[in-house]
Amino acid sequence: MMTAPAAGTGQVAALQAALAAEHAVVWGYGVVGGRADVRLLPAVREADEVHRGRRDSTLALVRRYGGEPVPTEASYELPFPVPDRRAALRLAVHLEEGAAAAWRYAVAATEDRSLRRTALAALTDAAVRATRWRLLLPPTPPTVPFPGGGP
Amino acid sequence: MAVLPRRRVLTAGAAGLAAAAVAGCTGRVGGAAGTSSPTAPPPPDPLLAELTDEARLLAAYDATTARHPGLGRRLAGPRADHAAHAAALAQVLDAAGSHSPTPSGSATPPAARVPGTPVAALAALRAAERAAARARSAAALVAPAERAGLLAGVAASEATHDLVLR
Repeated sequence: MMTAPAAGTGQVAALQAALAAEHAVVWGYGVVGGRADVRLLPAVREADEVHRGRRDSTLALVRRYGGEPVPTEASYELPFPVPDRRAALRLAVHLEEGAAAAWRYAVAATEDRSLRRTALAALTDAAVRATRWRLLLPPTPPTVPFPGGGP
Repeated sequence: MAVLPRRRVLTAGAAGLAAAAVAGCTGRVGGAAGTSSPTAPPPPDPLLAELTDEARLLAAYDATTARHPGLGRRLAGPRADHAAHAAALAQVLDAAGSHSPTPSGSATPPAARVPGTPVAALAALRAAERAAARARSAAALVAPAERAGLLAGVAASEATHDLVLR
């Protein structure tokens, strides 16, 4: 019988929150893609793909640590109307900031070095993607001191 | 007495913060030398090294802007981020009552010379940012939980700076 990795309930809860965030991001990129123009679409598809991969690996992590993965919602409430390309870009920033917040929380919720490394990599990736989208949204400052909110 | 420099760090504005942090450390070096203790001092708070590094980055941005004023607008964002990082680190250190008992400040290298062309200056800052992100990531992996989130956020922010320095 395989020994399950030791996991605090806080750790599993943080992973579940990260999984829920990734579910929401994948749904959200569907909306972003619907408003993206031809020039934007490759970057949206790439981001969508990366987050699908992260959702799947996070789902597997939750199982590995003994949790029952939270399912995706049928639909999510948009934070603001998304009628055009600029709003779609703002939504993309919002999605990445949401992912960053969840992963930053996960970094602090575990003492497990490898899990923390996974969370930190996800946080950094979300922060970098948010900055890429913001660079297309002048005059929005492209960087923030604490991705995902804070300090 | 050692509290004074720390307090100065906290009350200083973002611009003065870096100088105060470095000056504070240097000041303590002199003080520590005069009062040799028979017992070994506790190891310095590891966060002090991160704060010193942020101060060094701020100095590098200021030196670059002084040498290449045309880059000022582009550098303003990352510089403001570093000022916020330094302020947050100083606050955590202050809350922990951590005062440098060792001359860690003396290890602070002087701000590196700024390359003569804007392109080379940007490349130097990009290299400094990559090193900073690596250092903060490494610190986040071993930090206690209550500090790991802050360090991870700083690391992620520094990783984004590369994109605006191209």
